[in-house]
Amino acid sequence: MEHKTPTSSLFIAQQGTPTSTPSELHYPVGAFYRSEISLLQRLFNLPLYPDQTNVTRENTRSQVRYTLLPLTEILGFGPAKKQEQEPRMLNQQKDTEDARPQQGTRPALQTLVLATKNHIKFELPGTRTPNCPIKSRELYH
Amino acid sequence: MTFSPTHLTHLTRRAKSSFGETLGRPEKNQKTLITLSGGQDSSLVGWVLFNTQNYYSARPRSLHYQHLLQPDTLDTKKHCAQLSFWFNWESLYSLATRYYPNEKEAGDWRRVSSSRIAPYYNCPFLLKGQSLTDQYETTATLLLRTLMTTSEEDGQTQKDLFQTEDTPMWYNSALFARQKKQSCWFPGPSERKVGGRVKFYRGIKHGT
Repeated sequence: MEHKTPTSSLFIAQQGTPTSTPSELHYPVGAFYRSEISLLQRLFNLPLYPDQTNVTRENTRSQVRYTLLPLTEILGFGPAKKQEQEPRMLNQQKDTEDARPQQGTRPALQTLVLATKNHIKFELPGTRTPNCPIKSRELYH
Repeated sequence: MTFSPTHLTHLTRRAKSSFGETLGRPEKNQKTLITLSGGQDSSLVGWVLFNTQNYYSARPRSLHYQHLLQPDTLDTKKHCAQLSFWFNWESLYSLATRYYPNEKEAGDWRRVSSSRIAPYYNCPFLLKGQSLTDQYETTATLLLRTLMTTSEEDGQTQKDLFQTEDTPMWYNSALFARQKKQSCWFPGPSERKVGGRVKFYRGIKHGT
């Protein structure tokens, strides 16, 4: 059987002469918040494969994401404060368990700070168990 | 977060300006490398590039980094391969050849690798799916790291406020069932003792 070389280079990475010029770095979705990207993802029905490191509060980024930034929003900083006052438009998932408290019923800032000798952990009220699992709704909020 | 019509209009306007500035930068048939993680950010970048390929006619390739730290490593890779297949893109994979113990070293590895892989494949443009919230988190994380640095000036050692860098990335998840073997970097419970003593594997262990 005669061997035929593939005519198409599709799916075959063919490297050329390496260039010395560094490539330009762009962030196409750098102007959007995570919740907005989540909205677009739900609108377009994009398939996802969530990273398991995002569902624990162990690494630094997760601690910042799930404890520090929500604290700053409660304190009055961040974009979610203004948008909460606008009426709901889209049919969002209404989980009674995951439902966030409405405006006015949001609990006051009750932050439990566990300080040990060289260890401090921020915890939100209701999450006394350290490293509790992240709820699915919080993942891409 | 709730959305209103004005918010959606504002979102569309921002999308036009943002995508026009970034995705319209490569010229026709100019090679572009896109880092795919399988999450929503990079998937949205790929989706927009795919649906605007008649307008922004770049030649995209996807690049997926794999740290080999999770038991579902191959599933993540398969998902990114499927995305690249649907988009009709060439897909590149970069696998870690050593163990990166924390986020910072893994992020540095990705950053350095992408800056070397993109010129190697003659891709003058590198697109990353990083959102505005990610930038805030990065700033806060950098601030924390700067604050927590141990200083040994004047003969006194100041202790860290909390340990940020020693938290392993492969920590047990409560949502997903884990296999016994956490990753290829750590020996399983049955292979810890070899010849009466603990054996550590360095680098990729072949035959597993």
